[in-house]
Amino acid sequence: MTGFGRRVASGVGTLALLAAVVVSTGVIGEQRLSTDERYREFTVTGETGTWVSTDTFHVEVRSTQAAGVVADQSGWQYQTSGVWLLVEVRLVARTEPTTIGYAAVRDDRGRTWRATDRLEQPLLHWSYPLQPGLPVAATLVFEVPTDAASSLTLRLSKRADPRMRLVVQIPLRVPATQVTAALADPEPTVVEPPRLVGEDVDHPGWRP
Amino acid sequence: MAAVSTRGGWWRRNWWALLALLPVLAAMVLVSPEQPHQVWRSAQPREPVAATADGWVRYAGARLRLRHVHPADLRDPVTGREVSLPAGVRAWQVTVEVEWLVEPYQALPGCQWWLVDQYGRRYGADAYEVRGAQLGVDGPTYWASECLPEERDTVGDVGLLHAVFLVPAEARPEVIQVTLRDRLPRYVRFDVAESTRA
Repeated sequence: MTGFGRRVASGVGTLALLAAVVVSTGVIGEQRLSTDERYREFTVTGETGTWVSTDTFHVEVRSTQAAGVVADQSGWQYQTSGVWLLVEVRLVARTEPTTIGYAAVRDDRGRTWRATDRLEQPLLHWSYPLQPGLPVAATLVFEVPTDAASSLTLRLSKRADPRMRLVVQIPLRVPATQVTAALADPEPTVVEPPRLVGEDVDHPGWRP
Repeated sequence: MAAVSTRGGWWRRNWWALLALLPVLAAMVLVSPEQPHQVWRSAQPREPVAATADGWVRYAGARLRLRHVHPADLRDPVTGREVSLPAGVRAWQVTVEVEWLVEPYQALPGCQWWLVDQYGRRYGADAYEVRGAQLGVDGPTYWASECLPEERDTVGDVGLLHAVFLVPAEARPEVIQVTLRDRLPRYVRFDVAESTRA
């Protein structure tokens, strides 16, 4: 190719590149992602009985229990027109103290319920920091409609607003028969407060 | 006209512009009105304040010196009995001398204490399980280590501040940090010598 031909080809190539940039900018701008899409969370999925890790904490769901009536440590009983779900978890911070600011369950229709505030749940308060290497056993309590209880996924995150944060998602196993049996049982299930479980637990944060 | 080599042509013609991008990008970060560099710097304790030869550190209107780090004797304030912790959990008490250089309630309130172990894990003081415990048989009741002075303390007084940490039994205190959010990235750092660790 002659020098003139190379200059023409270079000019055409530059124009083509500029056009591509302008077009692609327009295409991206036209996407019009919703706020929820732009700020969507990052999810880590696990299952009951295994440790799941985020950037700040490890968590293991041990079991899930349905109840028709729950009671706190003082014996006060709480009724519901739906069903109570008690999720037994173990949590431990990774290398810095952290709190659990967001605890919710979501059903297969996308409906979400935050952990109840009808009972005191110290673990979900900023004043209960998890410490590295010190696992805590806790019960998370949710109040949900009966028809949602068998298709729930637990969601946990460090911040109260989980957008653009890591969110742990763990499907819960609550058979419909268990829900029916729980609702027929008038005896309240007592919610235990969170407690340190020390070296009884083998967890991923035990040795750095 | 002399022939122009096309080998590596684009890169050779534009290398200076690519090189110039680096200082331009750095300048963008530095002059941005949102000050990302400052936000990053002040998010964590990064600049320990130097201690004098005798261990005193001047910080936020006070002078601080590490007195000792020892296993905490935590008591039930009503019964006087030892607070029992689960196996594998250990409580450490950190005591720091403080001299108030300004009005004590304006010096350090809201401070945070941190204990760093040999693995670099950082623990916060005031674990839920030890709040309200008594420090020793005749000691004060422990609520929160927020660097609050004694009620009658005034400028020039020297007092003691305590913090209690719960850590795994195998964790060895290596560093104690005291931070104030509005003073970051500057913070107080005490390296825990064997002589101060009981």
